[in-house]
Formats: sequence, structure tokens, C-alpha cells
Amino acid sequence: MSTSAERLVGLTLDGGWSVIELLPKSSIQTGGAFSCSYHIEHPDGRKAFLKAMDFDAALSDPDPAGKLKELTEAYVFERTIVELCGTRKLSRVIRAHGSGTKTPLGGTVVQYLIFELGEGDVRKQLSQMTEFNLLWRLKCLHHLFVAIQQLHGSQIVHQDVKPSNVVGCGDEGHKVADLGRAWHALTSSPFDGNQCAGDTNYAPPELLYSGAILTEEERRQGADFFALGSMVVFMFTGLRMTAALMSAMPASLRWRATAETYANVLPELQHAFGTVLYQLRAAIPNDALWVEVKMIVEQMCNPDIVKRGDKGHTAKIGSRFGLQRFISKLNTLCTKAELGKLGTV
Amino acid sequence: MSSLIGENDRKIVPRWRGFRASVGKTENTDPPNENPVSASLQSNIGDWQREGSLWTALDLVAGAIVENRLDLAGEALQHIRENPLTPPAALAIVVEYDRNSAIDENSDLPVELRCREQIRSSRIKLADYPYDAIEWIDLARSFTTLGSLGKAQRCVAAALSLAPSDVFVLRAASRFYIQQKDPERAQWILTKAPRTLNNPWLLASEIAAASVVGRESQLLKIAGRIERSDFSQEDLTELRAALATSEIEAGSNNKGKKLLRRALSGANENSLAQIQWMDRTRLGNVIDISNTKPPHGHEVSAWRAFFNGKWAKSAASALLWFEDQPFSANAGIFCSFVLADLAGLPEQALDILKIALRANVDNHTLKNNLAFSYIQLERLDEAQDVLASIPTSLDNLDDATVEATFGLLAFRKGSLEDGRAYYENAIRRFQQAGSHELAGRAATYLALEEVRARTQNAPSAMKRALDLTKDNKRSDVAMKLEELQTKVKDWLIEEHVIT
Repeated sequence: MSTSAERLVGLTLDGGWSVIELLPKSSIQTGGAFSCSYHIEHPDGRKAFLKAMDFDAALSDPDPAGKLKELTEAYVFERTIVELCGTRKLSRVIRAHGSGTKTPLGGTVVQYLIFELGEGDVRKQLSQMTEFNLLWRLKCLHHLFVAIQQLHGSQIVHQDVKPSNVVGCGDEGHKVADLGRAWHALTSSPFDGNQCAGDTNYAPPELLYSGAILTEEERRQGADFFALGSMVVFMFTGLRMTAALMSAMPASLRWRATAETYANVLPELQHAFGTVLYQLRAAIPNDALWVEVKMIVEQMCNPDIVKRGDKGHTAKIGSRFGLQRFISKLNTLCTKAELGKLGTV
Repeated sequence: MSSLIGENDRKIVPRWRGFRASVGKTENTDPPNENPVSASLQSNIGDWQREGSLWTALDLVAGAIVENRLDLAGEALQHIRENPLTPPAALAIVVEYDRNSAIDENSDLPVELRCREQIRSSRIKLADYPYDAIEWIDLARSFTTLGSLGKAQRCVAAALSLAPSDVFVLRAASRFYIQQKDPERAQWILTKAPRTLNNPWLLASEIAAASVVGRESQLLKIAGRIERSDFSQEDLTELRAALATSEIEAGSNNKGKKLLRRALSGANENSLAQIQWMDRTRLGNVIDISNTKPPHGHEVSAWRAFFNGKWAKSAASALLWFEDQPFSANAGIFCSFVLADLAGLPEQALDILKIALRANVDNHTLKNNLAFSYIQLERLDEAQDVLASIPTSLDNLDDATVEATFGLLAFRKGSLEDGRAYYENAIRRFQQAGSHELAGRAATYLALEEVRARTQNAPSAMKRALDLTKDNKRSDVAMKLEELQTKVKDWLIEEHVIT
């Protein structure tokens, strides 16, 4: 039997939005089991994306009260964050058009958020390409880095950067979506206490292996840094850094196979990282491009959290997790690619 | 006369293999298909099933790799392998996953080529990322095998500065310093590492290094406590074997025997070789190891076949042992001895010795075996040069062995008097040192040469050989005596004394 959140098709929401189509659950939605997605349309022709919280589904959880509380808090948190992003006019973050509640016939109240609709995530866009377009990939990365910088500047850490959360928005370029797992310095979220708030399959090793002693900044911004570097690896290899690292680890020392602590496996992770850089090198024959990509990946994805980050940035603002230098690098690379100075990959 | 080291002494020093070979031998105790599937991976599966695109396939395979559940991504994996648009680096990463999931890695390349290939690849990797301690150790191993010991030492130092607490790095470094005849340093790097106090692998290495130095480890009490703790049998086996060796050397055979029996459960090839050696040389064959067959037990197999007189099998296992530890003097000595002297393959022995002597350039026993192999191949001038390069300021037994080989060379050159004198001198020195077994072997070799040269001294030499070896039950000595009898019989047939 469908839940209330699954029965919104055909209804009209506040602001005149009509619910058009229920979308299949996908990795676009973190914790997708407790939310539903729709395409919606405004009478003026605008299309949008609706995320409806599925409180009915929460009732089948072994701890329904706990799950309801978590979902409610998560909804309120995400609404607060997307409103904050709107207020601060963060141009590289998917805009929220509004929020509200709707009760389908014979159902319970459904809370929802309305977002601008993109053309699809980068995986979908890449699937439609038949040739390697370096400039497109570099621009996408540049936009993503700017998005995360905008968030960090607003004291928000995304914590769930992955290809499915990077959305193409036509002429506007790319924007980052899904702030459901974010962290905000001034707003508490139900995931604040989690060792790894985002998707563990994209997480840095210090959040996978046990026993890492991390500062708050290392745990939050450090993870975003790793995820951004991981997106660079993704653009050239098709795979994320976490997977590349695990593939280069001996089977007995992979995250799911060992109880060894982060500190104890760090030399093996460094060895795996060296192997990944070697594989990445093979994917980037242009030396000028490789030098820059290597610098970015080495500083953003280093398995040793102490070595991760931009040391030059520390001197300026006291934090090594500043993105400006990387954004400048990507900007320069985009220009060079436009001028054809990076060859073909 | 060729010589065999490892008969009188064996310490359980760590094996030194490439990183992948070292950790690849540990079975994954958590079978992949028992790992729970995360919501993220489930949604990756959903995306792939719905869209079937290359990029959803890549996403699914990546998620499955992270969760060690590649079994759930079979179709996606096939898709990315077959799709011409798949980024080559993605395929390389998947291949890397498969290589690291394999229990073992085989290489058909000869030792030298393998080392050169490893050096080339390590240098490329380290040029891009020099913070990889394990790669430095792998590079050091190849340099050590090829005899570039200064370079190897710098690599080991770099690795130790990058990862001073890593088990693989510390054990490899300790093995390197033992190889370099600096066991004090081998022990010191382990003693000063805080992790040694609660890691059975490091404790085992520390006790072994201390015993190579010739002193008792200060960590025996701690090791005893760890030995009874709840580490797995596999983690404790080398520690138990090291403790047993220490106990038996101190005269506590009963304690040692119990520890060896405990070491047998979870034994790896190194601990099993130690158990076999201790049992044979100190306890009198009281421990049954026939049911324990760890992977890569080449040393154990080589010795077992040796004592059973199966030379071809012993030679084959010894070759594998040497390929596994090509810088090891003991492996090189055993392998060349069996090949040149017992299996009748001196040319193969030469190949082994040329590699073994790179890492052990001043090893007199290897040089002696090289000269012996040359003599077997009638390359007498080369044998002469090798023997001349061995300094004479050796201890009695080694010096006497070299002297016996000089005797063999002289016989083959036709200087029978000189040859006899060298052999007689060697036999006397073996006897003075109380090594009747070696004296018997030298006498047998002398008798063989006398018979070969058809001298009138042959009957008396043969009689003495039989006298000196009458209490020796070893299969190699028995084989040499048999060879002696055959040669005598041939001679007598030739002389028409018998038909």
C-alpha cells in the first residue's frame, strides 16, 4: 500500500505548483527510503523538483518514534539550510522555491521542499557524451568547488559531495544539491553526532577506519575537501577516490574486512594513494594538466588528514581547508583548455 | 666440497617479501558476501537497473568495491569491461582490486628481471608521491636483491622515517639490517617502536634479532604475556616459535616443546620451518608437522625432501624458496648445494649463486659453492679465481670447507698430491673442531676423487670414508657413499676384476 508521500500526483500545492510525476527512488536522495521525489510544474511553465518527507514509511521502522523525530528534525534542518542559502544568494547551490505541507485524500500530512529542477546529475550528462570533453569537466569541477566555497563561507559544510549531487543547470553551469546531510555551525542536525554524516561510500578513510582523533574542522571540512578531490578523480577515471583507495588496499586491510585502526593502516593507505596517483597519471598524458591535477588531488585527497589541505591558506586565515587556490587553479586550467593548451586527454 | 648452512643454526627472522605478497597471503576473515549492503549501494543498484548507463555502472562498481561486495555488481562490471567509452583508468582500478583480492600473486619473470621491473615502477611511483613508506621498502628489497645495498639502505631509512610504527615496514627493515650484518640495529629499531610492546609480529622479530645479536631479548616477559592473549593463532605463531627457540636455547626443552606445539596451530611457512628445524636438531623428531601445510612452505618442503633423499623435489622446492627470498644467503646456499652437488644441475646452481652473491657479496660459503659448481662444469680457472678471492682468516669450519674445495680443484687439475694434502688438512681441521660429520663428508669426497683418478690410494681413502661416516645416517652422505661404491664397481669392471 502506498504511503501519503507517494500519493501526491495530480495535487496542487501552495503557490500553484502541480505535482506531475513520481520519480523512482535513486541515489539523488540520501536516505531515500524516507522521502519521495516528484516533478512538479507551475502554471507559468516553470518546472521544479519536489522532495516530500515520507513519515508513513517511518512508521514501519523498528523505532517509529525515533525515526519520526529524526525525520522531522532532518526536514526542519534542511529547510533552514536551503532558506539560508537562498537568503545568502549562493549562486552555485540548487535554489529552493519554497516549502509547505499537503494532505492527500485519506492520508496524513506530507511536508515537502521545492527545488529548482536541473538537467540531471553529472553521471547522466556524462552518459550522453560520446567524447571526452576536458573543458566541460574542468568547468563542472570549477563550479562545484565554488559551490562548496560558497557553503563554507556561510559556515555550512556539505558532507555529501558526490556525482549524483552535482546537477547540471543549463546555461548556469553546475550546482550542488542535497543539503540533507550538511552541517551548519549555528543549527543542529540529527546527523551531527554521526562519525560520518554523508555517504560512507564516498567518505575519506579517517571516517571509515576506527580510532581517528579528529578536530571538528578535520571531520567536517576535511571530508568535503576529500570529496572534492574525489570528484576530480571521478572526472578522469570514472570512479571515486574511496573506491580507488580500497581497490589498491590488500583485501585483508580494506575498510570492511579489518578492525585495524586508522593510524595502523595509514602507511598502507598511503601506499594505496600512491598507486591511485600512478593510475591517474596514466589517465592524464598532458604534463601541464597532470602537474595541476596531481597537486589538487594530493592536497585534497591525502589519506593522512594531517597532510590534507592547503598549507599556504593556513598562514592567511588559520585554516588549511581554504578552497581559493584550488578554484584559481581550476579557473586557469579552464582558460588553458579553452585555448587548447592542454591537448586532448 | 660444497657446504650446507642452516643445518646448525636457524633463527625465525622475518621473511621479506614484496608488500602485496606479504599481506596477500592473509585470507580475508570476513567473506565479502557477508558484508551488509548499505542504502547507498542499494540505490546504486537501483540506478544501474533503471538506467543501465556506463556512468551508473561505474558508480555501482565503485560502491561495490568500497563495500567489498563486487559480487553484487557482476553485470555492471561486465558492462564497463565491454564498453569502449569506459575510462581506461577505471579498468585499471578494477584490475588492481582483483589483484589485491587474490590470495597470491605469481610472476613468471626471472628474479633479476622482476627486480628491475619493480625498481622501474617504484621509481615512477615515488617520483610522483614520495610519502609512500611501503613503496620505499619494496624498492629497497629489489635493490638488496641486486646488491645495491647503499641504495637499499637509503630506501629503508626513508621508509622508517615515514612510517616508524608500521608492522610491515619495521619487520622488513629489521630483516634488512640482519641481512646487512647489523643485527643490533635490527633489534634497536624494533625495541624503540612503542607498537612492538603489544604486537606479536614485532615481538617475534625483536626476539629473533636479539638472538642473532647473541643476547636474550629484554621483552621476553612481555612476549610471554602476549603469547597467552587473545590474538589469533596465525598472529601468534611466529612469536611462539621465537619464544620456543629462546627457551630451548636456554635449556628448557619441555617449555620449548609446548610452545612449538602451540605454534603449530596457525603456523605459517616461516614458523613451520622453525618448528621443523628445532624438532629435528634439538628435540629429536617428536613433533608431527605432516598435517600442517601452509602456503609457500618451500623451505620446509626442500628440507623434508632433502632428508628423504628426493633430490629433484628438494631442488624444485629450494628454487621456489630462493625465488621467494632471493637475497637470503641461507636460501642461496641450500639451493646451490642441492642443485650442484646432489641433483647434478651445476649450471642452474651457477645462476642461483650469481644472484645470491649480489646481496651477500662476501659470503664465503656462497663463494665456495660457486667454485664447486665451476669445478663440476670443468671451468677450473674460474673456480681457481673464486677460491682465491676467499680470505683465509675464517673460522675453522668454513676455512676447512674451502680447503676441501681447493683439494677438489687440485685433483681435477691433475695435481693429485696437492689435492690429497688439501683434503687431509681439511679432514684434520674438521676433526680438531669436533665436526666428525663434516670430516666424514670430506673423506668421502677425497675417496671419490681418488677413485675417479684411479690412484692406488683409493682403497684406503674409501675405507676411511666408510669409517668416518658409519654413524652418519644423512641421506646426502648415503648418496655420496652410494656414488662412491658405483664408481668403484665401474672401475673394477673396467679393470676386469669383476664382470
